[in-house]
Amino acid sequence: MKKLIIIVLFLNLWSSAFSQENTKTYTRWYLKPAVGLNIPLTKLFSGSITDNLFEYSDNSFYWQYISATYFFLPNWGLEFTYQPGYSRCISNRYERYAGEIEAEYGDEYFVSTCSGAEYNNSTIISGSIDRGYLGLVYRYERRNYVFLPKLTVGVTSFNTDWGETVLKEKGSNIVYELTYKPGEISNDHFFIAPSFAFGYRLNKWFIVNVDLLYTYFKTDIEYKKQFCNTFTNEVKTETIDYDKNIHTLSVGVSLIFELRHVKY
Amino acid sequence: MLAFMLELLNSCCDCPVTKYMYYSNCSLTVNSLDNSGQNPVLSQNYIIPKEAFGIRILIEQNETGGEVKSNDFSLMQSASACDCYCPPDSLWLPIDSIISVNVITDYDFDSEHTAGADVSKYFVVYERGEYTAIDKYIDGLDNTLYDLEYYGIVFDLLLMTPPTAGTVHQFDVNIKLSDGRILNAQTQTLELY
Repeated sequence: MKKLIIIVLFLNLWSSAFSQENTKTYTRWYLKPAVGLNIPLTKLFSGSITDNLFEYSDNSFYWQYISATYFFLPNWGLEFTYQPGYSRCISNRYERYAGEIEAEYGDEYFVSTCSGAEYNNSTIISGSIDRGYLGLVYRYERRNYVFLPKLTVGVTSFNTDWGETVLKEKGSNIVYELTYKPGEISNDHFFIAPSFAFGYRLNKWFIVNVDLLYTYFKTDIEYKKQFCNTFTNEVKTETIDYDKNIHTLSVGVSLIFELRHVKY
Repeated sequence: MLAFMLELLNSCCDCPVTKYMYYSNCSLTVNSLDNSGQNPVLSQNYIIPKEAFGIRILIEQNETGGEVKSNDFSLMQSASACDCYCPPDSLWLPIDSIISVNVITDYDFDSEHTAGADVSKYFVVYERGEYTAIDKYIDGLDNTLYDLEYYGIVFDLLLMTPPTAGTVHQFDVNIKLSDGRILNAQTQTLELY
């Protein structure tokens, strides 16, 4: 309750501070390139060996080169944004995966591992974690300050790779095959995301901006582990579930380019 | 229709005449394998873990001369072909083929298989990451060769059920050919521990 009162007081002060001057024109379009960090409030990974087969990381950064807002009214607009994301943890995940397999099985077996994680599919255009969203924006602008609360819905997508290891038993003619297979390679997760952006107007065309975006999505990913004796074809199967609620806070900075000023 | 298409492709351009030559499976060499490492290697001291024992089979093939055939008969003229597909310049055909491979134990193997018993069923061929029963492997052998120089038949028999009787063992390998000959070779005396 105490927190709520402080927030209401803050908003009241904000409103009164910037309510002295009305702008005579408004901007139809915002273009907003940005960079930022995705900070996990809850984590997808819990230490399983298959964590390394995800083209995803709980901690990541994003770059945003497609983001446009169209204001159909002076204060109301629609925003579309696409954010590729990446992490250094994604680039060396195969080495971690192969290392963990070696550590677990290397005492008893000769280990030969291959995986889809060996191949890095990310580019500067697409990244590894794709996030796109569409939302309603409210613009509140006084003097040089811009306040942009938003409510958006979107999709986060990333790949889950397979892993396959040949385990030749030491001192024996038996060869085993260990596989980890995801249910689906591509995983799309719909999310809902309230967002706030605070900007400072540099001139008529540019606003420097800080973005805060909270996203929530639910994962239902399943990996099947199979340990197969290739001589007898005896198979032991185990399931690894990633049934998680993922809450993430994204913090970024952007530069807003304003296009097409129109009068009220 | 399929025959016509093959004929059409075959009749192209100036393909050389294919020479058919003949070879014979002529000799057999066996070596003891130690597969306790990542890959099977020839054993140097013949003391091998019994769960990792194998036999490498090498069947050498020799040219026998024989009749030369050609494929110069065609229903279609070369000029009418729309694309070129030429068969190999030469192909080697066998005058004999492998009928069976048997492994005989020279020492008592277990309570049911004493010296002289056939223990072939305890061995499998391991090739390209797959275990195959000996009979199935022999049935699947492609006997038509493109170059005799680089082809001999080499495959590994791995012992999948280790012996329970004693540690000293020796095996005879008998390969029966379609012309009635039997190629025979014997492993060294081994200590399977």
